[in-house]
Amino acid sequence: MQRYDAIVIGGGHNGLVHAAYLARAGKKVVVLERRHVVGGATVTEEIHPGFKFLTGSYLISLLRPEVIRELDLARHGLEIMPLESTVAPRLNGDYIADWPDHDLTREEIARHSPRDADAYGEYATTMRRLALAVKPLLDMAPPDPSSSAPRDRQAMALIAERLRAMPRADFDLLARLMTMSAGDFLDEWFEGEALKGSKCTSGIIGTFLGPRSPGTGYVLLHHYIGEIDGVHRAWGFARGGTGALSQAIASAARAAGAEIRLEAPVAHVLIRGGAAVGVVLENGDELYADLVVSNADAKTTFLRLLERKELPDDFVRDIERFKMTSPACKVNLALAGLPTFTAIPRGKEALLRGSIEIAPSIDYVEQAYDDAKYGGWSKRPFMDALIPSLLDPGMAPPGKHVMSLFVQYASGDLTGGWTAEKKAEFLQVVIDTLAEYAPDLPGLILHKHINTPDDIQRSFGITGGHIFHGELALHQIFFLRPAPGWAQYRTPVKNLWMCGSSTHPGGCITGAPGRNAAMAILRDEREGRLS
Amino acid sequence: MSERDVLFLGSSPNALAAAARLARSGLRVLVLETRAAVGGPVATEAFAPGFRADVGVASASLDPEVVAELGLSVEVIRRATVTALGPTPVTLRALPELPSAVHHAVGLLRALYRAAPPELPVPTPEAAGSLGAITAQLLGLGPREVHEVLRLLFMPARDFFDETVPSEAVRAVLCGASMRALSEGPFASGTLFGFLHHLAVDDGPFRSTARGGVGALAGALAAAAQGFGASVRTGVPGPIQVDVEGGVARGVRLGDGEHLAARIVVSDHDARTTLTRLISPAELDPETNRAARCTRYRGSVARVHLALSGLPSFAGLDRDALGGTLVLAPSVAALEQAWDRAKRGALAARPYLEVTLPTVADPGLAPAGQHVLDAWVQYVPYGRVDRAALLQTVMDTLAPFAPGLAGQVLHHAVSLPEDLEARFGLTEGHLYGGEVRLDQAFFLRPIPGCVGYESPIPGLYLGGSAAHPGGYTGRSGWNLAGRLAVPRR
Repeated sequence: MQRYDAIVIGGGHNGLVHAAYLARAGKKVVVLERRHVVGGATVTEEIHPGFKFLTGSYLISLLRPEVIRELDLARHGLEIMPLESTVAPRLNGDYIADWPDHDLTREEIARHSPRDADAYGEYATTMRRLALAVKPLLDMAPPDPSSSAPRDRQAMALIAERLRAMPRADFDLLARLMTMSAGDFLDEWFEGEALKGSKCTSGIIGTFLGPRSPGTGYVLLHHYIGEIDGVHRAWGFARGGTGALSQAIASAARAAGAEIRLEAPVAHVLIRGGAAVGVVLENGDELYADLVVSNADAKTTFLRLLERKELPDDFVRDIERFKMTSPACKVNLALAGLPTFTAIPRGKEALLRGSIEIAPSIDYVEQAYDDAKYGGWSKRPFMDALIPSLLDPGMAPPGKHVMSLFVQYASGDLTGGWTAEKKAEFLQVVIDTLAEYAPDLPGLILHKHINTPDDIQRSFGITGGHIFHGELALHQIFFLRPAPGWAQYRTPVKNLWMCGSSTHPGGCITGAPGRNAAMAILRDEREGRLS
Repeated sequence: MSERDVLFLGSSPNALAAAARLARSGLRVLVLETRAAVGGPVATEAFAPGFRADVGVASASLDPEVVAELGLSVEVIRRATVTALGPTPVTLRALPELPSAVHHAVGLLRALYRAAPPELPVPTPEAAGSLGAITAQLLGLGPREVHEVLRLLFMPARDFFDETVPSEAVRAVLCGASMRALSEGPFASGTLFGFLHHLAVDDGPFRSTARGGVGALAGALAAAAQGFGASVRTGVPGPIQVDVEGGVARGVRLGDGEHLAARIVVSDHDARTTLTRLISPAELDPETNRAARCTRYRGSVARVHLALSGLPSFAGLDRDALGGTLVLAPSVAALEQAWDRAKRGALAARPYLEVTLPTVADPGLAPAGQHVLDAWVQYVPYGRVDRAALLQTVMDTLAPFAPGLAGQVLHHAVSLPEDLEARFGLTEGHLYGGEVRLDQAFFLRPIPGCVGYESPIPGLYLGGSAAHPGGYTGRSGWNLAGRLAVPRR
């Protein structure tokens, strides 16, 4: 019989981060990964020979700097190349771009609207201030407002103190931003539709709401936090793709003594006397540990790996109602050459090295949402494209390119389901949309690959294929994530913990749930609360 | 020394409740109304010879504390049924069973509504005390309930009713009630707050009016105010301007040039009207100007009134149901689709309708044997819809359920949001002085930076539906009067 201090179910980036932290604290840890490769949805896959596809996540956005530092990821091979720009081409032949350099961006905005350029400085400083005010919340286990436990009280007091220190105007703005729509918020600042179209996308990524829906202001802020870390804009690309990040974290975990087993799918969690004692693999092997930590999403963890009777009824209902309907697909294209975007003039080709957004206006993105929200897909979707081979030539054979596309909206609850025909049909919608901006692109395609919400569920084991393991909706964040009262990485089952994106602070490549969960476990141990 | 203490500009139940409370405490109070009758959009007026209806808001309930304190006697008419029209009509006589958290959330909102919103993030000691009491009330519910209550506040109406109500027809009715007077669809976050708010101000799915129409509520309040010594002047020549001298409000100037001085001026109008039209924007700092500009009004409701030669017959409905509210919202998705059209400036082919036949319970509103049909139509984007097209859409929407209706119409009156704006001075025709939504509620209402009913101009206050908590219960005025009657420090 094999015995561990902790078993981590799932080798996604959070599971690996979590294992690394526990191992560094001297724990005997094993990570059990279902697939042949670590990383979960943070993976690089050679789907077409010679072309490396980012089949899941594609950018390193909100990765906590302390994770990079504490796990010494650079030493383990992580090389992050900051994205140099974002460009949104338009059908009128123009484009709008932004760069980490504030003045450059301001000039670009002025080209479209001098008034917006004037407002931009204040906007950028204000967002930075609000993001800084909220940022500490990302790194804490969310306190339960109903609890009188000292831990919760202390955390609540800390939050209250921070809020009280905010200037009143900032506090008001924060309260409004949290509850309003990204579109309305941007309307208050800017007039130019190109600028607003490009900016509103941060409010909807991974969220099944349109830029005019309240709730998207919060998501906008959530993404802004990624922009304030580090010297450069933190949105970056890992050499070798996001999979290389997972490899670096795995290497750090192994170096600290963690064991990582591939092709070791967990069938269910073993419960004895109401406490988790280990897991049973699909091949029947049993592994035992003092702690079992699930990196899987909340629905997978509680509705598939556990039996209903092991959990309180209320809790099961809470998990059942947790919304995980994905609005997004991931597309990868192998290209024979670099496509020509008609809106990007000669001499500005460097813009293709950054993020390329198909989001010409708020109305465009809102229409994309309206098309999809009743169980359909956008006739003209919002897309966030990246040509990784321009940043890292190793991603494609010489002279050839790969293009990674995050595509929204396509409902995880597609009417009639994601049949092979529907899949092909939507892939064609994506290519047709791109062709409006880059007419030569269809002729360059050597191979195309789409991961629909269905595929993401199948390949990565994420329920509903939701990239954030559950919508970042206002009623599913902070102390309500994934279930009210169970937001501190603990679960109703003794010795069973969570460390994935279904927990605070949610999705994106942050490493925060993995790290926060490890901190919570180690703190419990220090305080003698782990038996 | 001015001859009066407090001047009210506008006469909704909020202004009148405040006037009554202040007059009762001995202050000299004058209410100015440019229209012929008091009430603002809480108005019952003739829309055709011999036919009267609630031509502004479709319903109103006064706050029970206001009614009791002022000893008002009004005969409330509550519409006891809500019927979802459809292939098989579904009639509700009470709310369906909902989780207890809904009722607890409503109780907490009521507690929050009983006082001026606290100044945040650092409340005054007094406000901290009442916030503390409300927090204790919340925590007293126990952990599970605390979580549920807090979760409700931020939920999309659709998600919540999907979780809790099995019938699609009933879900649509409840989502409709959540979305009233909002430019928002039920899929959006925070829309359940609309439902909780409407329950908290007793204007939920089961709406009420008074015998003689909602205007009778304003009339009763005006009489009470006058009984305590307040003066109420209607038909005052407009436009009224607030006199600001040295940055302080000193009184008002009427349309005919008459000056009236007062120590305190209370605007019953919305924030944008008050801060950009009643005073010169030059009096304001840029932040307040901006906040007034950013407040969302976006009137989305049209009112349609029909004078009918007889009681219409709706298939499958008895007289009981006809005396209640008839709702046309075939599904939650249909509501969202109606909003999809409106946000692009168009009227949905089948808009959301709340229809009443007020003459069933109150025959005095029409000549004997004849009837009034009152329709609340949403979403009707401000300034974008043709009057005749709207009427036709409403008739077409109702025709399948009441085939004989068209033949019974003697007169009709259509009020688009822009008509409501012109008639009642409501910015963009919003009936409640600005959308009541999370980002425009509590300390963010009427605008950020103006808490405690104070405007940035000393001596000028905002006390109408535009102020916390919103609505025409009299509550905002009552709260304001409570502060004014006791000089602060």
